[in-house]
Amino acid sequence: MEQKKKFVFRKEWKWAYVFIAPMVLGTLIFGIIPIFFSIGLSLTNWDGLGEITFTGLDNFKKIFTDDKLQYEIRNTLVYTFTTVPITLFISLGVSSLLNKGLKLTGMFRVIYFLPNVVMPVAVAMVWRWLLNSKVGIVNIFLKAIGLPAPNWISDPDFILPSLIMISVWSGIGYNAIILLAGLQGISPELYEAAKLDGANGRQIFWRMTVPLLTPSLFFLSTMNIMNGMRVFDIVYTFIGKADQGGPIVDASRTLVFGIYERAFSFMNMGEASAEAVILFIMIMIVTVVQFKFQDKWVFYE
Amino acid sequence: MRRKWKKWTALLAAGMMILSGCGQGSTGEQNAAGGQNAADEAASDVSASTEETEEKGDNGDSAKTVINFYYWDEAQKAGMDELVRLFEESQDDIIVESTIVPFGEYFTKLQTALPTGTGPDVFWMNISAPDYIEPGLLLDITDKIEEAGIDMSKFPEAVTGMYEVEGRIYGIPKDYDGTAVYYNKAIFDEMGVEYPKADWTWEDMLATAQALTNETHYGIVANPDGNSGYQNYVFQNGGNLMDENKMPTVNSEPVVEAIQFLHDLMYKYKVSPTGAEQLEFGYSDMFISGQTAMITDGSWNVNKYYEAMGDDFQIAELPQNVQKGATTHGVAYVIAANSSNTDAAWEFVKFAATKEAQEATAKSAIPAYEGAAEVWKTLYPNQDVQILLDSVDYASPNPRYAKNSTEAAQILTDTISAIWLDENADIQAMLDEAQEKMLEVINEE
Repeated sequence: MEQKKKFVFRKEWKWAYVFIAPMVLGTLIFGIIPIFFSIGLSLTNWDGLGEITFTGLDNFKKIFTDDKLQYEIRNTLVYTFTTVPITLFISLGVSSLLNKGLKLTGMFRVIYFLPNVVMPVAVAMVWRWLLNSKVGIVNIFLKAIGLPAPNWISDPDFILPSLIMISVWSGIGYNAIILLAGLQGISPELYEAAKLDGANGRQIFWRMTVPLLTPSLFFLSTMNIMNGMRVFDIVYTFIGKADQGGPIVDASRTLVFGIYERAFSFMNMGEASAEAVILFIMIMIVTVVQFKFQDKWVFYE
Repeated sequence: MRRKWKKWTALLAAGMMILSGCGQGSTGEQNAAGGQNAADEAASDVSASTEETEEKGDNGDSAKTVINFYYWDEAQKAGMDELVRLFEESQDDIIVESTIVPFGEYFTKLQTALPTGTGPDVFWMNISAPDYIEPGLLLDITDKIEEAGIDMSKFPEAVTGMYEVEGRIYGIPKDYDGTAVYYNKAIFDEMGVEYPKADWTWEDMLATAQALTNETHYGIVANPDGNSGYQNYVFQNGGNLMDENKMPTVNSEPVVEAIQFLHDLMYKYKVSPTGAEQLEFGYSDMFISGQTAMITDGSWNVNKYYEAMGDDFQIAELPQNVQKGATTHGVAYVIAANSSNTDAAWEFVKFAATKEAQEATAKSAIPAYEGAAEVWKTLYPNQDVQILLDSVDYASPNPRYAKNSTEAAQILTDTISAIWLDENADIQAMLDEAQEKMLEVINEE
């Protein structure tokens, strides 16, 4: 009897392994192994073609004295820690409006979500024209209402704000939909109870709705920060494609942009890996901090 | 900018390559396992995925040698197919299997495939040749050329030079390009300005540009690209971006003067869109849309302008200052050093070096062989494309610095972009700094 039980148990195990194999192998081959390979490469000098020579920490020494890495770290952090809160704040507003059950809610939900399904390349192309300093609709509008009209894409001081603006715009849809799902998961009885106790709208929103949404907000802020630290496509298509270098690129280059340039333009796999390791450590620190402080502000029902 | 955009797809491509690599690996395993069914399955998999097996199967002739040929330009497929067809007709032993690898993935693919011996036997190469010659990835064909009696002087020297290291030859030129001034005839007519003449000078060009400038369009665009822009003016001013040891000379007097001249076109004479305007609208698009009457550009864009502008698009010689100057560059056929079929590969390359073969490929690029360009000229009956061909006589190649060339060149690109955007740029000081940084990168271990 017992033996038979054991046999069945093992057979199930075998199948379990078969079922998780694709996932585990995929993660190993495309995730775990490359991470260690990359850490190894960061200590070598390799052009992708010839001999791999061990050089210790030389790559780190070199890139830490490189101005471009300073720009990349600064831009990445500024980008991430402005884009994420602004996006979450606006998304929260949008989702609570969508949750009011007004007319045409369905249509607005689609409209807000649209930017999320548009290719980043197309987003970048369209925004380059919208933000054109002479013929762009944004500046035509700003001039019409008497506001200063900056050179959004040809002034180094404005290029990063432009990118942040575009990213916020394209991020609202996804964030608002997740928050809307969170809002709809809040039991109506809670609202009734709060109203009976005499809470006003603002109190209900800040004291009840927002705390109950914190699991969704935590999920979104974690994912958004990770994605923000790894931002590349929008920077590349918005700037790298039109401008080959110089002040505009320096004012907007991010860490992944730098990794790409070192690896595929300069064929310096060692330096690119070193920068990837730096990014890896930065993301790890931020994520660990987020999970550490999770208890302080996230309420699970 | 096209280059950079294409490179971006290399990231994706690298991922895809790993995927496809895995696929092949697993079918290989099945084959090795030896079960009849498994082998059949694998065989059908393979024939479905590549043309090559199908062809082999049809001929059923194991004596035939198959060589793999890689190139990057989809637009030149017609020419390359013609070349392969002619070659296969000329002999019975070798079949050429050609593959187009898009430019963005091309060099990434070569880098992963060549060292492991899974790459092509014959392939196109460009100015990055030294990166492949140095690690010994390209076959030295000097003796084979001599044996076959190929006259290398039939090819432009600027191109053959790109594939020669210490007297050894590694490539047979395929095509080349030239640079010229392109102008919009409609704007010249509208403003009643005389068309540019041969042997015109910087002063003539400035005067012409001034006469063409009004509220709706500029006279010329001083474009910040090296190959099609400022580098040509440097050559015309008797300078160069590097010396004979391939060390940078970007702060030398002729270079600074040439850059100053272009900066003046933008900010002093205001006959060219500023750096910021070029960035926002794209200098090439500004020419197409009639926002500027002239541009300096390369022969690779002739077709683009011709299609967009028709016969308003015309070609003039680049202006001269101290001397005539232009930039040229050329693609070559090269052979992988570790190819298992170097003899068959050479047969193909040898054939590609003939005038007949070069003429067959003339559809979209200027063939390198002397006189073979006549076919290309017939495509543009109302444009003086001969100017582009002639420009090669006084042209110099793109700079290729002694070491870490791409990274060094990027420093100059960054500096030029900064100068273009800054009306009050201290050009000498900025180029001094660029020179210093470039030397640092080049002298790095």
